[in-house]
Formats: sequence, C-alpha cells, structure tokens
Amino acid sequence: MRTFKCPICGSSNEENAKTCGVCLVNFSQLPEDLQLQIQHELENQQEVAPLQEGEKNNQQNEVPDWLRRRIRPQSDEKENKSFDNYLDLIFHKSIEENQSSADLNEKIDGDSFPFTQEDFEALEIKEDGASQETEPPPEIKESLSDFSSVRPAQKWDETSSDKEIVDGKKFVPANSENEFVDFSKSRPAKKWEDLTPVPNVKVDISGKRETTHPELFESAKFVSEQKRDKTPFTGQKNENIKINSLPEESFVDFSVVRPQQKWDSVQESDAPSSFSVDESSHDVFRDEQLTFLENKSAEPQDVNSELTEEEALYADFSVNRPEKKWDDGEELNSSMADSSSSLETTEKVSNKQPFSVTENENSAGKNADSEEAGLVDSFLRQIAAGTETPQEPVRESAAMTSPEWVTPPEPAPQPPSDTDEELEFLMENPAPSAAEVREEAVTGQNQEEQSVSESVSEEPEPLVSSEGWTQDEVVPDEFEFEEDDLDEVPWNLFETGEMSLPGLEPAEIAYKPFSKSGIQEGKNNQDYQQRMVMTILDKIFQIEGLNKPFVKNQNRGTRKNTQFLIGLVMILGILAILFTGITDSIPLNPPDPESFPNLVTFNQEVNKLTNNDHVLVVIDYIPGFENEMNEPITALLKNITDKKARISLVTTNLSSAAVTAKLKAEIDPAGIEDIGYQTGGVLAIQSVLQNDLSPYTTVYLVSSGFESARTWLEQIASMTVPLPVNVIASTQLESLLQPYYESKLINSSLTGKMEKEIFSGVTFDDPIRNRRLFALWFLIFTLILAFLAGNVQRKPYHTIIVEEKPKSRPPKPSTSEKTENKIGKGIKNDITF
Amino acid sequence: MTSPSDFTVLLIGFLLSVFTFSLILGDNWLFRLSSAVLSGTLAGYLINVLIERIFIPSIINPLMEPNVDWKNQALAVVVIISAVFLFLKYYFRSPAGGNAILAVLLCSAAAVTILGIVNGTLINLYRGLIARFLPDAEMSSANIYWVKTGIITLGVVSSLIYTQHYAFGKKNGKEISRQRNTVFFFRTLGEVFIGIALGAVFAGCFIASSTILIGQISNLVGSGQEILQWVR
Repeated sequence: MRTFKCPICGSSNEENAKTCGVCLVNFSQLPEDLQLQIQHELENQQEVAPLQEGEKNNQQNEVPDWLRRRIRPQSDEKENKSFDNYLDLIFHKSIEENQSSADLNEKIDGDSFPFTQEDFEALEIKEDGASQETEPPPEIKESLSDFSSVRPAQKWDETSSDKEIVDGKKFVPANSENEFVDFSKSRPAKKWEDLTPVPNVKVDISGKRETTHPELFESAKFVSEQKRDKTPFTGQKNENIKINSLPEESFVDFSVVRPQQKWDSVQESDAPSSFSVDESSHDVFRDEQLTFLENKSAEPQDVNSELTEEEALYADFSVNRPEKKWDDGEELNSSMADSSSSLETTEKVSNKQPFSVTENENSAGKNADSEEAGLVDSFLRQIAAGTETPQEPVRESAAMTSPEWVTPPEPAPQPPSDTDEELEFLMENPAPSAAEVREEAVTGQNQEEQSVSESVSEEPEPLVSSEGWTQDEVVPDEFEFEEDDLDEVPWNLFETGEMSLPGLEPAEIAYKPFSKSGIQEGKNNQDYQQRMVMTILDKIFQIEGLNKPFVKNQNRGTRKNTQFLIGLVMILGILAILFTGITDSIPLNPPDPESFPNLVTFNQEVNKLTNNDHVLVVIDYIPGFENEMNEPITALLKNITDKKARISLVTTNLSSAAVTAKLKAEIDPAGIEDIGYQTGGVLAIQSVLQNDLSPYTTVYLVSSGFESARTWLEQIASMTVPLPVNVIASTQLESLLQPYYESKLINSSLTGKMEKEIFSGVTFDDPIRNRRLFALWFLIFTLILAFLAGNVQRKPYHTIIVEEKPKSRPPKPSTSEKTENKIGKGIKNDITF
Repeated sequence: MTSPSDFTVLLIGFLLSVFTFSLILGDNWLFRLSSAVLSGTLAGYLINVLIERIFIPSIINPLMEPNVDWKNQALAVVVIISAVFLFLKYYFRSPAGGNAILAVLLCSAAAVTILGIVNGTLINLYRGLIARFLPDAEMSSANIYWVKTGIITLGVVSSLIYTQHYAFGKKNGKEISRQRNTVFFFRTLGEVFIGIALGAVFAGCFIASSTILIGQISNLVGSGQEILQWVR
C-alpha cells in the first residue's frame, strides 16, 4: 500500500487516509498545492526501487527528497526562496500580498531563505499523534522510501543488535559508527521513529509517553548523547530530576529534546510551539535542559572531555550545534577555546559544523562540514540582516501566520558527503561565526540608524557662502546636515533656516540658526538646545548690535594717571578763568541775530502772540538743567506776559514740579496758571491738551530729554487740529529735533547755547558771564583734545561689526583678500570723531 | 548783605555741592552723605507734590467739598477703588481687580502711544522728506536746497539699509558680507551717516554737560566768594 507524508507534520499516512494519524489534519481541506504534492508523492512511490540494495546505493537513493530539492535550488540562487515566501506558500497568500511582502523580502540582505517547504515538513514533529501511533507494520516500513521512516529504521535495526551497554552507556562499535556518519541516514530515523514517548521514564511524564515503544526509542540512542547526558547532569540541584536515573531515551531523542530546547527559547515570546509534546514532558525536559545548559556553561570542559573521539563522531547536532547557534556563541566559543585538543571534534561541531555529526579525517569531510556551516550561517546572516535578533524572524513569522505547526527554521540535516560539490558555492562566502552573526543581529537596528546618518553625513559639505562659512558652523551637535536638512530638524523651533535679504546675492546667506560660532566662547561646548536658548537670549539683549550685554565693553583702557592729569588741568583751568579773570581782556561782541535763523524764527513766533492766546508752556526739564534752561524760559515767560497772553505751566515730570512752582513765583504768580504735575504719561498729555474750556493756541515745549519731548510732539501731532509747537531744548537735543523741524512739526526751536544766550538778553557786558563763556570754551577744547588723545591708544575704536568678527573665522582666499584684511584689522572702520 | 538764614542756606548748598563734586576723586563718604541728603530731600518733596497735586485734588476734594457734582464724586469713588485694587495687587499679591485696572490703563496708554508714534513721528517725518521734492517747496529753486535734500535722502535710505542689515543680516553675530556691491556701498554710507548723527548727539550732550558744569562751578565759585565776604 502506498503511503504519503502528511504535508503538515510529515508523518506517514496510508493512501486512503482522509485525516492525518498524527496531526489529524483533514487532507481534503488542504490547499490544492499540498494536495497535488500528496498526489505527486504517491505517484513517485511506484517508481521507487526497493530498499534491499547495498550500502552505497542506499546512500545515494536515500538522499531525502527534501534535501535534494533544497540542494538543487541552492545551486541556482534565482530559485532560492525567502523565509517569508515559504510562509506565504504555506498559508497561500495572494499574489498581491506576496508582492507587497516582496519589498520586505528584498530588504533582506544576501540570498533568499535556503530552506524549502519540504525542509520544514521533514523537521516538523507532532508527538501528540505519535502517542497514538502504533508501530507500523513491517511491510509499511519496507515500502517506505523516505529516509525519515525507512532508512533510519534499517540503520538502527542494524546497530541496535551490535550495540552493547557498558556502564549504562550504549557502545557502538567503530565499524558500525561509520554508518552513522551521514546524518541523513541516522538522525532522521530516530526522529521519525522515536515520535513515541519513552515508556520507562522515571520522572513524571505523561502517560502518553509511557505507552510508547521502548525498543524503537532505544534504537535511536546516540553514544555521544549518552556520554554527555550522563555527565553534566550529575550533581543537579534539582532533586526531582535525576538525570542518571533517567532512561537515556529521555535525552537522546532529537525530536523530543532538541526541538524542545529550541522552543524553550522561542516560547519565551509566546510563540506557538509546533511540537505537541504534552505539557508534563515539556516541563520535565525543560528543566532537564535548563540544568544541562547551566552545567554546560559552568563546566564546559567536563562535557567535552567526556566525549571520546569516536563518540564525537556522533555528536548530535541537534543537541550541540543548534544549542550553540541559538545560545550565546561567545560563551561556547570561550569554553571551546579552553578545551583540550582531544575535543577538537567537539570544537568543530560547535564552531564549524552546525549540522554535522562527525568529523572525518579526510579533507572532503572538512569541506563538507564547512559547507554545512555555511548553510546555517548564511541562513542566520539572512535573519540577522533583516531583523534585530536571530529569533525575531521566527517569532514574527509565527505570530503572523499563527498556525501552531509552523516550526522555527530548524537547521537542515547534514547532507551526504557526495553532495559536497553541489554545496561548493557556499564556500565562496565564508560563514561568519555565531558570535558575529549574533552581534550583527543585535546591532541590526543600530546599523540601520547609522546607515541613515551615514548616508547623510557621507554627502559632501558644500560651502554655503563665499565668506568661508562651513557647514560645521551651522549644523547642530556633531552631525552635519545639508542646508535643506536643517529645516527638518525638529528642534529647530524658532528659525526656519537661513535667511537672505532680497537685495543680497543668492549665495550670500544673511542668517543661519544657532551656530556654535555665534555664541560666546564659554558656551560653544554646550548642546544644541542650550545654544539655541543662549542665542535667543543673546538676540534679545543685543539691541541692533549696538551693545552686547554681559560682555565687558571694549574701552580705551583705564589710564587713571592720564585721566587724573587731564581732569586736573580742566578743573584748574576753569577755576583760573573764573577766579582770575585772565580772559577779561578779550572783548566779546554780541553776534548778529540774523546769523541764528532758529533764533529769528523763534522770536517771530513769540511776536505773533496776542492777548487772546492761551499759551501752554510745558516744563519738561529736571532741576539739573536749570543753569542752561532757566534763563531762556524766564525770558520767554516775560515776553509772553508782555504780550498779555495767558500762560499755563504744566509738567509730566515729577521733579519738574518744583521748577514750575519756582517759575510761577518768580515771574507772575497771579497771571500764570500752574497746572503742575500731571500723572499718567501720554494719557495725562492728552488730558491736558483736550482743554475744551480754554483751548490752547500755542504750545511752548521746554525740555531737556528727547524721549519726553518726542512724546509731547507726537501727542500734539496726533490731535485733530495740531497746535503750533515751539521748543526750547537743551543743546543735546539740537540734532535730534532737527528732523521734526524739517517735517514742520516744530515751528521754531531754540537749542543752541548762543541762541539761548542771545534770546535771554545777554549783552556780553558782564565779565562774570564772559568768564563762564570762556570757561566753557576752554572745557570744550580740552575735552576734544582728550578725546583725540584717546585715539592714540593701543586699542583702536572699532565699529561694532568688526568687534563681533569671530576669531576662528578662516581667512577667505579671494580677490578682495587685501581689503578683507584691512577690514579685519579695523583700519577701514575706525571711527574717529 | 546776606541775611544769616540766606547765608546758612548758601553755606549748606555750597558744602553739598562740594561734597558732590568730590566724586571726581572717587567714591567717598562725603559724596554719599551729600547724595543721601539730596535724595531724601527730593523724595520728601515728591511725596509732598503727590499728596498736594494728586491725592487731595483728585480724591479728597471731590468727596469732601459739597459743591462737587455727583459725577465727579462717582469718578472719585472709582479712582479710590482702583487704587485699592492696585494696592492689593502690588503689596499683597492679590490679583483681585488689579489686573483689570492695569489692563485698562496699559491698553489705553499703548493705544495712545502707538497712535502718537505713527501719526506724529513716522508719517510726519516721511511726509516732511517727501515734501522736499514737491515743486512748490520752499527755496526749491536754490541749488543748495537740492543738495541738502539729496544728502538727507541719501542719509535716510542708507541708514535704513544699514539698520535693515542689523535686523536680518546679523548672521549670529558674524561679520556681514564685505562684498563690494551696491548694498555694501549703501550699508557703509549708512554707517557713516549714523556715525555722524551719533557724533552730533554726543557733541550736544558734551556741550550741555559742559554748560551745566561751568554753571555749577561758577555758582559754586560765586557762593564761595559770598561766603568769604560774609566771613570777612
């Protein structure tokens, strides 16, 4: 009777079976391709030769189909399928979905996933069904051509008769051990026939396992496993598990032990297990394996030292190799490095031969081992290249596809040595060590991030402007971005990038955000946010660049002796002029009033006043300016009083209230109205100007400060009918009031010293007044000399722009270099008054 | 002949002035004494002014005098309440009502100030500049007039370009571009005009300060001479 493998669990089923005896899958509900596969398998069985040939022929014929299929595609890389494609094949994703996932598959570096569906099917084990399985009849065994059922049976049948039990170990003769070199012949046999649990276990395992057939399980014993299983588990702290007392069958079964170890690591992430071993046995074996792993890591030499050279040939990859693969390879490598030379076999199994069981002395065997290592490592590289950890793709794939029978990508069994030529292509790419694979996998995400940053940083740095600015002056922190990338920096909250004036050349960048060079030296090393804050603060407190707060102004030095000498000369000179009268011999003639147009205009405005006018005189100077302002304002009030015009004195300066009171008392206490101090600033000014009872016809503003004078002028100009304004101001306002006079906001002004003197009625006949004038001129002359002498100081008086020139700025090689150097030295921009 | 009271006042004034002038020799206790006396005197005077000029006429009189109409009395009550709210705000950190009062005052003041700046300074100054180019402008036929107009216009434009550079072309404190182009020329020219303007202001302050200094010294000398004569 023909049989076929269940495409889900791989168990053999009769031709007429509707459901799988192991996994109970209804074959009629399988997808069409799987049904076709079953049908194809049944058809092929008719052509299979009987299994009564010699050993060598068996090796060739017994190369499993799944291995043959996977070897063939590996020779042609185009036919390789990725792991995702394989899952898609299993779950019948639509073409569109496959196409959508194709991009993801393309991201996986290297070749496609080297395992085919058959590989997984061959490795998938369902023990639930196996517990119900009875020993297949001999005719079925004979008719099986699949190595998974037939070939190992023959192997183990032969060896079981030869083996002897020595000290609880199963000893296999050397001549028979060679027959087990091929993993494909020996290992899968145990796998598929040892699906039934061990009945004689002493630990608490399920009853299912007790109903299995010990004779089949015993045939699956590995000597190496026996040796190793016994030694490391001695002295376990967990007393519930006595490894020595356990039947060896509990540990030798690859299908039970090894995959469980794998899934223990996978199940930590709640990935569905493909093994249906009952939970009690899971727990037992998990504990056993954990303790084994602990002992192994603690005493690696003991484990390896127990292996003889012959036993090492049978080192079960399912125990050793995957364990090293998925566990930390560094520990194993380190432990292996310390092992003795007698453990070379184990070392090769661990480090080089992920799937091999033996190590042949000949080079062919070594090559085969290397190639097999390349298979696994290439697979691991593919996983590591696309995901964070080697386990992740299995977990994610299982989580996506979710069927429980999906197994993690089990390493493929060792192909026979005669397939070495087919796997030679793998030698071209030397496989990295497990530690390297793990490192790559762990740092996978970081590599992606770095690749992004590297792609940015690898871009060339164009010079932004012709001034020699480089990107490192602009780029936040240590990374360097393109100018356009600066707009994408999320923390660039307040600036949108470089700015340029409309009239400037396109290459001339007018502004760049928060560069390091723009901050003070002590703050350059801070991070970008701190630089941003400091830049904002710097901009806030830097008014038009005229001053830089918190920075000591560059002055002319403090030559106190010189200053004291100059001050002493000034004081002594003034006192000499005032006391001695040495200037009395110099006659002073009154100037022609026509030479002072402002004075003439002012007089004309005063002469226009009549007795019907109501003049508002704003006193807006502090008592400190009385020497300069009292005489002209007194003369003005007398002239207005002479014109019989009404006068109202008002001030918005609190300290000027005393001046108004004094003027009122001195001039005409009865004819002058003293409104006095008005609080409220501009509101008070508007309140004063909106005098409906007795509107003002003219305003005379007497001020010593520009701010208050400007405020008064603005409020007067904003009236519905602006009043004519005449100003008597301090000399320091002369240039500032000139634009208002040009704009006709001021009818006339009296600001100059001589103008005010003449308007005050000084005839230059008084010697004391003449002395004051001479003293004033002497003081002015001395101060000018002192000012000019200050320019001879070592530090020239630079403009603000030159002062803010960054020190670290490299010189610009251009045609205007000479001019630039002059500017940098402050030669051109020196301001000398 | 100066009376004793006048002489005392003159002497005190003379001494305080000399003490204040002693600052030229550095900070000393004479200067601190004179400044403290003068500051205290000024503060007392200001308080007197506030009480006499603000508190009594604006608050007390409307409520106490019988001839005041009810509108002024109601306004006085509102002023008192507002003053209480502001007092609570500044001294007891209580925002009850104080913020509203300040909001009204500040908004009104800001509106009036902005109106004055725009209408009084910006518009009128530019109007005055443009008016110089009108054909019926005064003295428009004189060449010197157009020279002056040209210089003023050039100064205004270049100064604005110069300040515009500082507003938008600061480059984080870096030096501006020194490329010799039109903008560079106007910036340099604007810098010259601004330097001249600042120099003129400085010269005015210089002269004013000198005038005050000479006046004070002269008064001090005159007071000293009078004191000497009175002693003699």
